[in-house]
Amino acid sequence: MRFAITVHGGPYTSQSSHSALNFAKAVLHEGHDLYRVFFYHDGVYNGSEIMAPPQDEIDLYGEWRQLALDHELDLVVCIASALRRGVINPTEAERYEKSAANLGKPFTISGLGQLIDAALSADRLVTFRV
Amino acid sequence: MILHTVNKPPSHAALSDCLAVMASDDLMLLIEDGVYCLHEVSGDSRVHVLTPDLEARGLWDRLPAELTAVDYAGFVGLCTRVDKIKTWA
Repeated sequence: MRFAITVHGGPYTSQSSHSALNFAKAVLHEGHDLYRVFFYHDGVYNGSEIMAPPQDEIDLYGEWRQLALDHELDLVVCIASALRRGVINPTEAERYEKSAANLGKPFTISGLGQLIDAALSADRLVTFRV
Repeated sequence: MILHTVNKPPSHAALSDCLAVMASDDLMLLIEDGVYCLHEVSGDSRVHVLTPDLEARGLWDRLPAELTAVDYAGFVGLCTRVDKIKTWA
């Protein structure tokens, strides 16, 4: 079965990110496909590669990154949510004349259309709200 | 047939809002702080509880007999049994 996941919560403000990560791992472990993970609202902070948590704590960006590399996942942050919160890639940094970018690979920036597409293309869409 | 996830304690409206619209053959999964609702729904066999969140809050030995504990693999399994998943938060 094909799943898609939406994440609304940022690291350290709710359990949303951790629940979504654990659920994503279980989806893949159970042999299902994960079509896309869409990061919305504060969820976009999951894509910040400059987070530096203590070594004995879960590194959410690193966990998402590794999971995506292992399973060729599509990790998308909502562009409207991300720009407002200062989560940007080099292309957007140049467009808005910012001095730095922090969205780490393989996260990409795209629009709400990607959430609609995920809802239509996946058999099940599971949302993890704050 | 819908799986309803609830992630807020009973002091929040999420549980009562969810119960108000749940069909008799729908399922519910309590996750995160939603596991604190387990006594409000004791006796309702539609309700499942996410084990790791139950354990994290020290409620493992308080699980009513009518409720079913599931791990994340069980969460995924519940999703495959229903048509869609509705999140109450």
